[in-house]
Amino acid sequence: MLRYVLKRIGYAVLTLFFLITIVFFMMRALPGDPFIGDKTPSPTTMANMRAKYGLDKPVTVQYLMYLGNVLRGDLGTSLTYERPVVDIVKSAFAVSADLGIRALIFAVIIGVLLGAVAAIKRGGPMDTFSMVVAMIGVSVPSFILGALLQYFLALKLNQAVGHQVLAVQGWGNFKQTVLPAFALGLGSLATVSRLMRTSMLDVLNQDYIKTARAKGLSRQKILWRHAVRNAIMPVVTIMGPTTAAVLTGTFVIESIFNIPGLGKYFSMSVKDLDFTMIGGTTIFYGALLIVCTLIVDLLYGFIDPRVKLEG
Amino acid sequence: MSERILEIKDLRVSFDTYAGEVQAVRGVSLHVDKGEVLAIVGESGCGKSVTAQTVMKLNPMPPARIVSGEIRLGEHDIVAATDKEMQAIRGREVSMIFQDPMTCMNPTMQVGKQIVEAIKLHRKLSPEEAKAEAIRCLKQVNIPNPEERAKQYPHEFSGGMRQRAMIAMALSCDPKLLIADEPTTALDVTIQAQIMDLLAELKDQISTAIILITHDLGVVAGSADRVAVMYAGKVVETGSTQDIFYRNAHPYTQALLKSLPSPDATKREPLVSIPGTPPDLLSPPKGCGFAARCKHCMKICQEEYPPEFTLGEGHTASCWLLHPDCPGAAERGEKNDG
Repeated sequence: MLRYVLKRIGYAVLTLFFLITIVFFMMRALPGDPFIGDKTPSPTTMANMRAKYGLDKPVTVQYLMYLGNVLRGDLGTSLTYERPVVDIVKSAFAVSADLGIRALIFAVIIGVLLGAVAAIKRGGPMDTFSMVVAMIGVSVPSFILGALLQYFLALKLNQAVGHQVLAVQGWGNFKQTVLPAFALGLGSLATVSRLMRTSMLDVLNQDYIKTARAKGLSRQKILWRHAVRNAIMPVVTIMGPTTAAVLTGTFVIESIFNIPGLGKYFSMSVKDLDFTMIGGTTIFYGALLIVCTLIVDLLYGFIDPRVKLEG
Repeated sequence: MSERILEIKDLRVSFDTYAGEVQAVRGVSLHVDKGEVLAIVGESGCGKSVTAQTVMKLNPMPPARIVSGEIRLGEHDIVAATDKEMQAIRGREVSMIFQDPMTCMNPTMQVGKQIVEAIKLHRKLSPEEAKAEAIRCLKQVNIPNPEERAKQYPHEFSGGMRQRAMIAMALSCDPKLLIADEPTTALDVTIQAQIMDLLAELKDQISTAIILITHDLGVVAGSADRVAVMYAGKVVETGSTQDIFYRNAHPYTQALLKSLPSPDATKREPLVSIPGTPPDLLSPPKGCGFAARCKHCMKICQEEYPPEFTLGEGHTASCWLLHPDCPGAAERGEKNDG
């Protein structure tokens, strides 16, 4: 178990190294210049700026310096905001994580329940309903869903009721979190519920469910004690990628709902060619995903006794 | 002595499918007395498992449906029993073990806990008592180190051990009847023998009646008191194990016995098989189901189902050859004797 975790951490470091390297050289290959905005500064200003951020040195030297800084936990200073990247990531990610966790909890709990009920009442109205929800969730992009939700559930509903029920945009109170969390989570909810339904149908046909029935267990006990626990396994497996989907989904949702989260910084930094910010946010997201996947794998061994984690 | 545990009268079970009504069981009558082993034999799809599962109402309904008939288990009327009544009967009055021990235990639950679950359901015991009882049950089926084994998961058990644990679970609430649905089919031969020995041993200890469903006549010969031969959803011949092996009268029983490979055959003889396939139960034949494959088939066999003829005490068979008007009936009866 310990060996397994150490090995996984080793792989994680290696993955991050490749990620940093690829991102670093791809950034330099982008056309444009971070200091050229609406107007071009004078050549002396440009030279001074380059010298200040170390961009006047050869690319390989820059690369090695960057690697050294990252190892020391220094992600540099943002070229746009002129604040340390670490500080920006810290404050902005708190908001993104809040939104992401809300969306994830919503997606997993409702998704599992919907999928399980759909399988139990196969062919019934609940099944049809869950499949419709899943289809909408999979096929409607979150930015369209976000805009529709803003229009109907915030703007029109508030007008109809006469006071504010849900906020259109912004971040801070509960009214403002409902719609973005819903828009962000629905796609994952769809995936989770479809997977849960398939898995549950499979489990319900297993022999051990028949054994449980032959014991004289009631329907409820069979479903919750024997079926759901086994059926949830594939859902746990996709929790890593689902977390990734929710986190990357924040880029768009945060822009639409005007939420000061990390996703917004991430997408803006690419547009601004803010090298240090791109690097910093990429490394952060990369590390986050690797940790999520590792946690999921460890969790899997915990839920399913047949899975042995060996190094 | 002969307290009746189970009585099935003219049971008909159908499955409603898209293609139509599949008449899986077409009028089966059976009974099991206290402490006896009844074997139900027949090839795949003859309705033996459906009959047994209907006793516990384990077939999903729908698509399965009890068309008519009567099932009495002790004082319970199974056909009329509600879901709730069935939950109290299952595990307590009648329990079941299945064909494939590899898949019939919950893979994410400790074996001991799965047995405790059954015990807690039907017996008023404290959690500690139930646990101790589960360990006693595992010991009873000769599982070594039952205390440790109880804490293990099914994947840590071998196939034979799992079937033993299944038997322990099935017998944990002292049911009056144990239904063993092909309990040895998925196991290798030596383990098969061990499991059959175990069942015989337990039967003597706890006086549970057993319905043994199998297509292995070797297993039947070694362990059953009485045999019911099923074909195409009907019981074609029933009698004591002696009757079925030595005084059989139905051509299907005879064909089944002929297809048994003989261990002392020295010549390289081809294995005997029954040509043809069983009839499609979507549209069952109006006459005898075996007529199309029977070498003694007569005109009447295809038109009308034969009545049941009594050949001896508890020995009956349904075949037109046994009709007194059938030429040669007497000699055939004699020929099969001994």
